[in-house]
Amino acid sequence: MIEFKNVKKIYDNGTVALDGVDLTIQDGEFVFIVGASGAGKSTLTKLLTREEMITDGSLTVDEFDLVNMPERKIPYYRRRIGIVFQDFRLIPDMTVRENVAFALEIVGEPRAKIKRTVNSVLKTVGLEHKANAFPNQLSGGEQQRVALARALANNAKTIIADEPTGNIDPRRSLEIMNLLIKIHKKNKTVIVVTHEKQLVDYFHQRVVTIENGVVTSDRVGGMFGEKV
Amino acid sequence: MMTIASVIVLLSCLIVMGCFSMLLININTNLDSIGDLNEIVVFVYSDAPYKEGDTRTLPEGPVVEGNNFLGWTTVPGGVEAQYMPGDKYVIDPSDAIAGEIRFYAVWENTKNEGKLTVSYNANGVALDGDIALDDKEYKVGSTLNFPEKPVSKNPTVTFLGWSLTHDGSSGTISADKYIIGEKDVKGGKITFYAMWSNMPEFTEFTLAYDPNGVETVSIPTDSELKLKHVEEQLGLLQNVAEDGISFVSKEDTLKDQKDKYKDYPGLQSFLTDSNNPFPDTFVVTYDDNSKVDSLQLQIESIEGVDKVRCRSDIAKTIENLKSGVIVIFSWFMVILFVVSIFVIINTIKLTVANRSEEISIMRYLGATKWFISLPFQLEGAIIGVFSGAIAFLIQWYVYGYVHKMVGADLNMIEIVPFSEIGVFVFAGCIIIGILTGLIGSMISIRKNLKA
Repeated sequence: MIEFKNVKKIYDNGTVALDGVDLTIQDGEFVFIVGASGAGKSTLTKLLTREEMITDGSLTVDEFDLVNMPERKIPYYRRRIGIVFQDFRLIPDMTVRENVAFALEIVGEPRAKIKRTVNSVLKTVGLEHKANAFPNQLSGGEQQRVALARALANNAKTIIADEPTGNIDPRRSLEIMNLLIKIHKKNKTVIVVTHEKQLVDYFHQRVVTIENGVVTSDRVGGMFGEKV
Repeated sequence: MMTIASVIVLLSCLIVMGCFSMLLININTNLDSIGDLNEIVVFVYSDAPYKEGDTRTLPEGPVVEGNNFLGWTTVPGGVEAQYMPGDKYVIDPSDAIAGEIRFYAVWENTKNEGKLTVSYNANGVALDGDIALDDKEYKVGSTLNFPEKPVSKNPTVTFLGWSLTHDGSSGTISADKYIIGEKDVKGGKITFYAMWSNMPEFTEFTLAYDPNGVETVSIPTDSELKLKHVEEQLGLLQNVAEDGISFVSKEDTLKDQKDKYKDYPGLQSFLTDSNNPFPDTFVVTYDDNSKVDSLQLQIESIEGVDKVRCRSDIAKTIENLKSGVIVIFSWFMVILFVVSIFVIINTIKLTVANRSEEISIMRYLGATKWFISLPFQLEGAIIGVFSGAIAFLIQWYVYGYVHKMVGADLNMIEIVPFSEIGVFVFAGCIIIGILTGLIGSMISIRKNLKA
């Protein structure tokens, strides 16, 4: 369970990014977080990945208290969440297989397990036939699928996708979203941060709208930009 | 390019360090071969004659059971003490008999068994033959026959007669016989001094101590007493190391020198036991080099000490030289070390910059700091090992060259063979190289390690 309680985030330059956010996401939920540019969506993601620290309030993810967590525990926390970025963030001189395996090597998994897991997640995202290709030989959609596969590799309980379709053409975007739904059905919590109205409206999931650093709407099966 | 630069800078740093340590090792080795510098050599010319005006502290008197020593007198057979032990006696030629000043022990009970002994004194003139001993027993009033007239080795000096005083003040007896009068006897003894046409003049005097009739005691010679005094006084001084006083007699020194110069017959004939030019010496080892000056002064003021040789000057010069070398090299090292670290920081920074994307991905995937920094630390360490190895090889070669050159030309300086220090130089180069590499890489990656 992810729990934001009156979370405030003020950057060093004085910008108020979040101004008292209360938000609870239960295990196995699928949540869209929507809002205009600068509304505070990215800050929310950064707080969840513990890239940024909240200024006030409390933020817990399962048993992890992100406010009081010592720095050395951050890597172990991040292994519990899978992160997907708009720009994929694949390592260009590694093949698809190596990119996915890398996530497992980092946590020191044995080689046999790595091989098994990589094959399995590549199958999930439908890229087993491109296992030996390099990222620059893949389309945007395919690269994002690799990124998803990597996020899944560690058997993360929660997947956070920050504008996952931002760099992909609309047709492929639907594929990625379908994949995320598929992952969600495997009992994972999926948080998709996006500003793509069509996609949000299409999937009829819980939609949390953020405007000027506050949650203005939170409805299951809601629509983009819908006010309470 | 940057990697090559860091290797070069680091290896020059290591070479300087290596040269520094090897130089210090060699200085220390050569110091050892010079010997212990914490030494003061004290010379005592114990047999040296005294001159008019010299002073001598009079020694303790002999101890005899049942007879108290009262003091010293220069009067033969004297019964009244003129001087007490510890008194400072100023050499007075008028006390001397033929160049010898004799101190007679004065006893509480003057032993006079009524026996008279008669002796003859050549009064400072070298004789051709000896004066016959007179072991007859005499009494006051008996008549004695003088022995045959002594003959001087010097033909210009002729015998005039005998006298009861060394300066002839009691008159010269030219007869063959003499009737012993009561006041002639001093302490059971009568001494006749030879009077000569040309009495020798003495400017140098020796001291002697006489039991004055108490024949059961023997009093050490002045030279023995002097050495004993010096040794006792040295033993009382501060800053002298434990068991730090050793004595080398002039006889031992003579023997050593004779052995040393046995190939020089001319010198051998000069170095004889009766003509020993060497002093007795005490070698004093001290603890604290900084207090050596006062120690030296104290030793110089001990009566009987003629000369003091102190190596503290050499020791100080060498210490100064050593600390100078240490200061210069330390600065060199610090500068080069800082430059090395700086260059390595920049080298690793470039690598870090090239891989910053990868590092950030690793962080998102939950990589620990250790996992992220390991490759960079390895890179730093490899630069270090590589530099250390090259530095070691260069030093090996250069040291060997210097060893050959200096070893052949300067026999005085001993160069420690590289085989003895090579292991340490190697270990030092590698360890310091790795440390520098690690420190440099850790500093450069620190910023990127922020969670």
